[in-house]
Amino acid sequence: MSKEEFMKELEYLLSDIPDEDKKDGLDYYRDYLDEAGDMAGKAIEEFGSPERIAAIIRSDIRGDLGDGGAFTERGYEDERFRDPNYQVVKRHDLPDINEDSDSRQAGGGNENREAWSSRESTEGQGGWSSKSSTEDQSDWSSQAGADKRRGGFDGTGTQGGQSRPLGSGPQGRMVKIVLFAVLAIIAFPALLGIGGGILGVAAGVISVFFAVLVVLAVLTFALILAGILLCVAGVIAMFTSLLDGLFCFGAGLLVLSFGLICLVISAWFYGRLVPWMIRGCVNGIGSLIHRKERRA
Amino acid sequence: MVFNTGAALLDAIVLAVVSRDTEGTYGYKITQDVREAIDISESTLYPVLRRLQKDECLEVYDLAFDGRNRRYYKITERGRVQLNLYRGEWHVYSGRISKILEEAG
Repeated sequence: MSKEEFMKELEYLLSDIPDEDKKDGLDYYRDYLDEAGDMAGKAIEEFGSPERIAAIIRSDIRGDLGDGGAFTERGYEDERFRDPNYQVVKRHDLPDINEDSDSRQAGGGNENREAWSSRESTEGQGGWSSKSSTEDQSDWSSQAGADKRRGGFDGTGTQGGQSRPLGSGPQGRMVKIVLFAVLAIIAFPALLGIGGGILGVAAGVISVFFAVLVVLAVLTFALILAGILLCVAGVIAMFTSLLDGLFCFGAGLLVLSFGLICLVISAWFYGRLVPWMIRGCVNGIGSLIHRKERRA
Repeated sequence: MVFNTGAALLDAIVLAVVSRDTEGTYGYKITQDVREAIDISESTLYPVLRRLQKDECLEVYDLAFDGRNRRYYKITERGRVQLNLYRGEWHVYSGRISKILEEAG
């Protein structure tokens, strides 16, 4: 890729960023290639791709570099882009252009990096501020601390570039929220109907559930009570009329057995199903909240 | 190189390199000079220089050169203070590390 092709492509890729930042970035890299002279071809090769350079310029503007990550000789590394196994899943949003060096990076480099960054965070900041004696210096010490949390680029050229999809940055989220608000206003009448319907159904389901809850308890209690009463009445009736008494006693036993069946059912219902449902609801709401938090 | 170069160290190296030219120096030359010390890629320094500029450790000016504008970076007073801080810290830090590594042998 020639210098002109590279710059043209880069300019195209940056067409949506603010003019000032775009000019600054383009000037720097054009300047760089001009200065490189005969070595420009080699420099372009090391740049990787226009996409990668565009991503570097973009992430600088977005301020991503300030939030995390660190410069290392192997490239830009960022704790935020690691998976739980402590491997670099994705360093920034830059496609890799060098598989070998990336895998080396993901494998061997991690312990080093871990040790380094923890050192920086523990000793580093405390060290700076404890040593600063003048006011001026202490001002700088906080800055030095802030610097450490910043990231950057460099390295063996393992990143290439693509812009982040819309809707990921804070700005993107704002746009999303606004769009949702507009949609909600436009679709309000329909939503009212649909939402009302859904609410109605939900209310129905919930009231049925509570009805079952209450009825089951009352039924169980009533059946057992009636059964016992019938049995007692039957025993008393046996003294006057044996047949009537036996019949009454038998009916009492029958009702009591129904009551006991209800008791078993309600034991299951209150002991298992209700806790299970409550747990399900809590988990469901919990995961919703959790997801929101993760997104935010 | 098995050791990482953290952001602060990279800042320190860049400030040191830029401070060597009192009249200021330009991106390509800074990169090549930094590469004498550590192995960084050609594209690395843009965000670093931008940040140092934003932090007012470096100032820039454009000078016509060869029929085009060349952007020069020059260290500011603030940048010098920062560089001195880095130098002091590095002296202590590298001294400690050297001591411990040499004692180990």
